[in-house]
Amino acid sequence: MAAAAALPVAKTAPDLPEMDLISSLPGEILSIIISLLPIGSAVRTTSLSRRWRPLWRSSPLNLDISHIDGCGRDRAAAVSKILSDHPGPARRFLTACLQITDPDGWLGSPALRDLQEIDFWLPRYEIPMPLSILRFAATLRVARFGNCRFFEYDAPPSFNFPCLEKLTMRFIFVREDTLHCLLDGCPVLESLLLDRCHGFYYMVINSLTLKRIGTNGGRHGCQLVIENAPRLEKLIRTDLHPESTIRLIKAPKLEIFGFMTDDFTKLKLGEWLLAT
Amino acid sequence: MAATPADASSSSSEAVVGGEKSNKMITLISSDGESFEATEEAAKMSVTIKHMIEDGCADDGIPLPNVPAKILSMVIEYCNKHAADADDTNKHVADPADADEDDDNNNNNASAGEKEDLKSFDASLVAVDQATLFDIILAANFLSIKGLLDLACQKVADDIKDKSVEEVREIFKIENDFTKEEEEAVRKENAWAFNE
Repeated sequence: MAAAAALPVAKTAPDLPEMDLISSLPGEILSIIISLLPIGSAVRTTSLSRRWRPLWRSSPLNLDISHIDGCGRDRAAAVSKILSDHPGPARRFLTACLQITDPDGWLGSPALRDLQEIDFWLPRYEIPMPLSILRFAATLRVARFGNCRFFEYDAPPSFNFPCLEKLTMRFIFVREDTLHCLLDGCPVLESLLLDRCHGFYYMVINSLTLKRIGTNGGRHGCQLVIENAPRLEKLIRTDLHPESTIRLIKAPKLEIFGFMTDDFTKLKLGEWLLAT
Repeated sequence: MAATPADASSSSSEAVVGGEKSNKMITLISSDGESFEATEEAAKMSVTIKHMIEDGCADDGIPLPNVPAKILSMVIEYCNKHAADADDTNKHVADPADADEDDDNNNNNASAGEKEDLKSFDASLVAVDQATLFDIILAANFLSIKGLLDLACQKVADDIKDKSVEEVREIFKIENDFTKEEEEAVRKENAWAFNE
């Protein structure tokens, strides 16, 4: 068994360099490194030296709000500052821990241009998902939405998410036709997780790319029909609503299929299913 | 598994006719003139090399003037280990969030045990001094090996994150060439980040 674990940077590390090697790496590489840092560390690189000062602003924005210290108001202020400071593009924008008071303002920020991954929660369940979320449709690969009404009255005629691979919806109201329209607009979707969503009694899966589906029950039963899913490997359902059914028509690769008992409800459905 | 310097004149090519994964060996030549052999499958983890093979430029060995032998052998080790696992060479950027997710779950290509082995291998590959690590990064960038570039950059990021500015300067020997006024101005720009 290989023994090597990642070594912490020792205080007496013998391999500290004699001279500054890192600053002579090309800017494009330093940008990659900075975009892997939590937001606080990334911003602090601006004060390392003159060479480093402009680099954070020219690396893709990686903003996970949970990495900002302080109370909700402090965090919101920091986010507003960051979004006004960074010219974009953005790689990630994760907001799950925060009550967002100005969703449209934030989503419209130039800093979030070409966003690839989003985790977006509205502060109250009755609030509609802002239309401005569709601004990122062309570039999103991973999307987690929570706590809102999803295009209940203002659904576009079609959705187009050409790069979306993972979709998670939690505590969302979405109408049946809107849900199917959304799924139709995700040509490369691999993972779908619907956690305590409602508004649809019937869900038909017709996808050449979906590998993993999870549903965790809503307020009412739902009929799930797997009409054609040639790549589907995992299908997990945790809602125990007496009126819920699953109909499997065509899923030749399905390996894991189950209702989860109470024992499994402690398992975080999203992490289990969406691990790749 | 380690790549060994090979006599450039010996040929051990064996093309498997019609298969996508041939056993053909590709010769790679480091900047200091050493030759290394790698399977075509492993070599193609480098998009740069893949294009050269497809353009028919690889038959006499591929010179890599930017990559010294010490680094090239590590790069080839990485490619050998990961070639069997690769779905395609264009996997998107490794997501730090994914590292928290339960890795015991199956991927298409590797069992849980194999995934653990790969993780250990990757960790030990980048547990090197800074000079070597940066050389790996430069080589991975030049050769367009996304997985290796992400892995090595993540290691550097891990060494930077959650440290104070002073600590980062110390670790990387970065000289503070700001004037006092400049440094104050930078810290004021994003004061929220500097509560040290």
